[in-house]
Amino acid sequence: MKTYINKYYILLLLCSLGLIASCKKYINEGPIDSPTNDNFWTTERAAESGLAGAYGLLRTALTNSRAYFVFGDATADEFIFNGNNWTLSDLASDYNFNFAYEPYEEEVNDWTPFYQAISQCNLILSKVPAIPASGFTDDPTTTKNQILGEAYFVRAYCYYYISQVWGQPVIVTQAYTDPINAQPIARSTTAAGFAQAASDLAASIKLLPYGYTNPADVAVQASRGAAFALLAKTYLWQKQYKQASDAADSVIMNGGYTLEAGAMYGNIFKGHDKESIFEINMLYSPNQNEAQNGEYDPTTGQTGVFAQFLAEPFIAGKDPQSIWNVNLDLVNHLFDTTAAGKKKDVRINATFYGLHSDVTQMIKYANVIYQQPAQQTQPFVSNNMVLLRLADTYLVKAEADVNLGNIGDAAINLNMVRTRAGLKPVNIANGKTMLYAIMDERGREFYGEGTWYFDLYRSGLIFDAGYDTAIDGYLPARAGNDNAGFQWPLDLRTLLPQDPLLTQNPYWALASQN
Amino acid sequence: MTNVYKKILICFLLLISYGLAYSQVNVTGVVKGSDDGKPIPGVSVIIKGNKQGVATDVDGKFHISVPSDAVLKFSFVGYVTKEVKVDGRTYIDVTLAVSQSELNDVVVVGYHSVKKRTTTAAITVISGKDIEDLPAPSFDVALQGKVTGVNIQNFSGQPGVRNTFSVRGNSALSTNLNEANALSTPLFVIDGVPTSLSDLGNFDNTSTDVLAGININDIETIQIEKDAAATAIWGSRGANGVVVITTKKAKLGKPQINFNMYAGASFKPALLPTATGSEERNEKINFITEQGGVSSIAGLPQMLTDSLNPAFNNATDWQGLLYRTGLIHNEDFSIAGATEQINYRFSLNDYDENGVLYGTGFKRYSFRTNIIYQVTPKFSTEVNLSFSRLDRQPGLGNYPHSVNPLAGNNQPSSFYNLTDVDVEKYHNEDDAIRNVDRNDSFTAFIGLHYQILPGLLFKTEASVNPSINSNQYSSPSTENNPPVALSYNNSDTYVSSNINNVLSYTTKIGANNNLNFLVLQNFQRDVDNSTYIYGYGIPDDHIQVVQGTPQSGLTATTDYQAASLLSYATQVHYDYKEKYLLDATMRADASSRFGADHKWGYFPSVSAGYIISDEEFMKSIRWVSLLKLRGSYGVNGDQPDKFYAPYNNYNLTQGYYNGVAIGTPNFNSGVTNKNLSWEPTKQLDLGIDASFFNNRVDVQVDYYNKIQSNKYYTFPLAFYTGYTQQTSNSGLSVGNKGFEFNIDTHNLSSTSKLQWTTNFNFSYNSNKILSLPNGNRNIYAVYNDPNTGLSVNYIFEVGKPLYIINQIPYTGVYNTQSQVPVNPYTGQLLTYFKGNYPVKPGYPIWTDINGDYDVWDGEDKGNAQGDLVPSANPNPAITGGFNNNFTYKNFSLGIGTTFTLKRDIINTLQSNEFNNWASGLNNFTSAGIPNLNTIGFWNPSLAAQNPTGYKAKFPALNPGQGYFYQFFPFSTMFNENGAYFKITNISIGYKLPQKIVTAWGIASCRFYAMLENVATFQKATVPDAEQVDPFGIYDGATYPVPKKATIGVSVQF
Repeated sequence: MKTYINKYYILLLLCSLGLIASCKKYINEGPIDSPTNDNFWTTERAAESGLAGAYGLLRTALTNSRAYFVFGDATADEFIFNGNNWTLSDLASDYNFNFAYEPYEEEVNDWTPFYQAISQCNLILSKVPAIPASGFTDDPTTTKNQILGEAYFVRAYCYYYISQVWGQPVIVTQAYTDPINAQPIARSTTAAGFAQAASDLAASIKLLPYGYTNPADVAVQASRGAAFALLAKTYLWQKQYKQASDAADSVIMNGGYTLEAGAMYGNIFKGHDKESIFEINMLYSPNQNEAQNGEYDPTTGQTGVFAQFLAEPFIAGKDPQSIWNVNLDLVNHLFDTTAAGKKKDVRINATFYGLHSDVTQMIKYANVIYQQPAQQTQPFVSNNMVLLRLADTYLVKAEADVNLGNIGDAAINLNMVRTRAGLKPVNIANGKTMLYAIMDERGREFYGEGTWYFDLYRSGLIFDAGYDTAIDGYLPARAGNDNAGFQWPLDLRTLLPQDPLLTQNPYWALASQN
Repeated sequence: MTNVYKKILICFLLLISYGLAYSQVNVTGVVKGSDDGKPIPGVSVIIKGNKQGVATDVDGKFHISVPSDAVLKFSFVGYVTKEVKVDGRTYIDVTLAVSQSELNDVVVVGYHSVKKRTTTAAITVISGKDIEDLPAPSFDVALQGKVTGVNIQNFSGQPGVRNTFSVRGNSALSTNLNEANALSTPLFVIDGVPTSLSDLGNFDNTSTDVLAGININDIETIQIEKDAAATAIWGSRGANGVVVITTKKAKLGKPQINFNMYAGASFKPALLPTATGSEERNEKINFITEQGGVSSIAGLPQMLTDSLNPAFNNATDWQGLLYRTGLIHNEDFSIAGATEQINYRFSLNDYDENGVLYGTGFKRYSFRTNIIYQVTPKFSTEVNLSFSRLDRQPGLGNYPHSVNPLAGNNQPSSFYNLTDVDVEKYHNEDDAIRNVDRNDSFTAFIGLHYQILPGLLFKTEASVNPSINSNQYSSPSTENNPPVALSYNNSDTYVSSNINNVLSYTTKIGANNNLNFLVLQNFQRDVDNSTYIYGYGIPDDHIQVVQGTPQSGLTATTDYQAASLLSYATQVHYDYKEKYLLDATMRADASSRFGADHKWGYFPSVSAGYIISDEEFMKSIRWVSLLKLRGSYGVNGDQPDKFYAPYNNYNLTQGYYNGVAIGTPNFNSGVTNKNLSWEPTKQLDLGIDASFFNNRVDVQVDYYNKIQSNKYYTFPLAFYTGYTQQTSNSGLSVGNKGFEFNIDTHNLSSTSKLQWTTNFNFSYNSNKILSLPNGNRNIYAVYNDPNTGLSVNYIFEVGKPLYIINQIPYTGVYNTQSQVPVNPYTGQLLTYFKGNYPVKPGYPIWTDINGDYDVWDGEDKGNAQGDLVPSANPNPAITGGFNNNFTYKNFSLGIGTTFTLKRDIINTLQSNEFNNWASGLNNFTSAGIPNLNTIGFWNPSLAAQNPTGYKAKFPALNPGQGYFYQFFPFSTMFNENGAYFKITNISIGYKLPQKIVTAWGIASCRFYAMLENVATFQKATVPDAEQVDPFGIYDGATYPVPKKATIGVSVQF
């Protein structure tokens, strides 16, 4: 019996020694439930996931706190806030468009989501070139160029957007590997922000082709046309009108885009439209849904970004008190709402519902799909958020041409948009009057598309006493790059502790002392 | 297993044959106890050096055949072992002396056992006897008030829910405040198997206290190990103390069969006084008139004025609707027996407690078996197997603050009509919803011990402990809006495996030098597999699982996570004549949770003791039985909670863009952290153990100073990096120092028929932040009241304790306009809330801390504090207990109490109620109210009568107007003194006289009764000052701690 035990004992000892060897392996064991920094960037699929991440982060940045419409439309007095939307009421003209007090809407004073998108682009730009050719299922060079080109485009869009919203971006083009020890960086000038966007777009133009091979990618992925369209707008901000006009020409001549028919105006926002140059995919899909909730979502405490405009009858059972009400004064000023029949602007019915009632809804994004169609419950709004489209490029070119003194060329492009809407062509000789006409046209064309405020501010018409659509409340004192009163204040309480070099936009630094 | 039984059988046969072969002299006799002179059954009688033995029968008689020169050894638990020479006698009567002292008891320090007398560590030992039969699911509740340095607070009385258990103060700091991570918890070592509650908590679906899987009546001892001498050997897991639980083993002697059962009730809690019916209507109308004048009656809602409307003329008491008296019963059955060769114990347990809230309850079924088998004189094996199933009915939710649907300020007015159908619904709602919380836990432990040489022992121990927790939920379409049925099943299987190899050597050098040396190697691996399945749109209400769901309504994820820990350690004990004691330990841990560049952590400790009472010069002082000085210093640590903390994983579950899965780094966890390491804790302990008057008075005093540094902190990162935060070791350090005092006394002489023992203990702990990251910059955090979401501000500041509440000081109510300060520069009145509310009579007096003639709770530019000051400390400074036990003849009586002193709490229940009433007439009308006149709201007419002397407790509450969040808990208005003294339990017992039980043919029989949570004495106005969460908040929404009464009987065969 004794030797029997000894055998066991030796066996046991050997086993335990063997175990020690395998212990080492376990001590260095990493996760298998997700990829890590060390093993993610190795395949085409990962690179595409990463690119989807860049678009997804841009989508988040634009839709959080309904930011895209707060920045571009609410500030242009297009909507009236009451009831559940009291948090935005300081944005009304009655409160002089006070950007500094938006309780519970933290994202509008915090550009971090845009920097996450930038950071993702930086990662793609630094990691994708190193993915070995063996990691690709498609042609490695073409695919890499496509992915890198789109990443440059998304980064350009972020810098463009930050420059117009807050101004003076912090410019980062490196991917951080040790963020805890990142050195503080000061803000650059707004001009440098637009310059960064322009240079990224130039890179993007080199890498991307016009058009699409896959119809599902139309407009929701960046193309050379999209890069030129954004470049044209960037040049406008930079007041480089010749380049702006040329870039717009490239889009119009080579992009392959055509204006949607006036009768089908609403199609523009349903996704992949022939007029659309670049849009954020937010369509409903039962299994891989990207559409936002059609009602107030108690778990996030937010309403979906499009549902913010909609109530009954577009979303069954939704309270009309919960929506952003259309500012009828502005609508009546911009449009001839009393016109009837053929003379009527096709955009009135395509943009507004209930113009003669208490509750006027903006219905560009009203493609509602119920997950439970029988009960009409669980609504989702299946529309895309169109950021760039051909009508915009026509008007960008018109604006550039006016500034170049080519009033006649400007009229041609302006009339493209007017004609489609069922309006008479204009014939204006005065440059200033032409600019006013273009801005009014932009107001009609892009109502609720997150852009008109920036147009008014870029062109300076927002405080131009001669422009009778100038919105009450914007004082000339806010103007000027030094003052930055048309740009948004930053939430320094959140942002400053990690970047001690950060500064507030001067106008708001003074205002918040009050 | 069958093998083990075979061996048992063989061993019995061997014993019998030995007996036959060597019969020489037949010795008989009776063994009695010195305490009552009565015979003791079950005493082990062994021939010294031969290991043969018998046990005494029920009359204390024994019969044994021995060589005529043999020495007999008589031993029985609770008595001093006695050796008697046979000297050819055939009849021997023996009287065993009661062992007075526990000092010969053995304590387990890390991997070796030492006499309690010679240990140099600060350890409190609680005997299973002290907590047996307490009607509680888990032993931690039963320890309350019994152990110095341990703070146990029951913030929920829900059966089977985990409460707080912290050893020597708290060191957990997080800016993401929630109850689960609020306090640090110790490491539990259950029969040699280490169990981390925080690791298990990471993968929990049920919120059930896993410690409730241990049957209280299986516990032999609980050791609470507090200082570095005891815990450094647990290395990177020992920083918050170690609790060692040992389950019962059989005593030498004949097999003992035990049956024990008790049953009783948890009583429906006392309801708060509530105004109902016309009393409520009159009170409300009078109150509005009093606050707002007669004119304010004009706008009253219909509900208040229309007393004839049948929908509004009821007197419903909503509180009573949900509570009931719950039944408790418990059955234990065990068989235990031991010879020199085998020691076995099997036990079964069934515990069932119905909660006092409808739809809640807790059931446990458990099984445990411990077998030790001496295979050869040198080789023995130990096998422990246990299983437990915990079924908890969580009622309406797993979250402790959602279990009570009418909690806090949610109580509606009594005016509402409540039909029988409604009542049914309130009670049956829980029946319609299937919500099962189940924890199944298995433990298999095997130990092989081989005595290589005398003194040189090799042990291999392996254990595996799979525990499965699952939450199965389904609710039919009738319960949901929109009416769609849903089900889910969340389940986790957590398997912890552990292997130890221990080589120990014990020797004596010369006559007086004792040396014990031990090296060990340990490997632990924890693996968790989880499955979450969720189905929305179940086609039929009778399907209560996930089946038939449309593809779009189905989500499922599985996960696998593993963590490993490899350790080497050594322990050395040296003593000279058991008088000068020296211990040292060293442990090295390599953890998979540390970064690649910091895999190993090293944890040393040294400790020394000096038993002065063994010195010659002390021998003459006869009243001192023991006087020991001891001190220890050492390092241990904490590991990250997350298994993959050093890795930055990529998140591919964030949805899609254009049909492609979004893949980004996890921006919330930063990038790969190769430097992530343990949190070192340095602890100094100085203690005195003393016994006086022949061990009738036992005193233990400890001073400790514990500093945890390099702690994990989640740093917010610069926005331009893209990453938002990263958890890393930081400049954060937290100190806990304190003082513990414990005294046990036998108040009457050992010959007295009445025996009275007393335990008094108290601990004082002072908690302090010693340094903070980012150059000691203050950290602010907000905790949202779990019931209503009202926020409470906290500040972390160097030199102050953790979780200091940051508030505006409230000092009373302005009676007249002239009392309101005026800004001398502008002539403007003091205002509240950024100039929006010029202060009027009836407004609270809030101190304008920053002197800008405006008070608000937000920060001002350049001054984060604004008008806030650190105002209250929710950490209890003093905790303790006072426990007495009496025995007289066959009767026993025990009274246990506990107290907590110097603690601030916030009554957010009241804050919520007031805020609700103040926020408009409709809310005021539709809410249930207590007697409004007793609350002490400012009364305009009383103020007018006596403008200088009138001191209202609370500001004016005028539901019609003047609402500016003044009743939010951002001011000190609702702070209360959280001290309390509680009689936790009273137990009485009666042992049937020996004559009767002998006649019945059983060994013993005892009847007992227990009262739990007997009475609370407190200053606070909250119903129960203990029911406060770790942040000091009483929100009235957690489960009341009920009073319980049980009676039971315990029979030994």
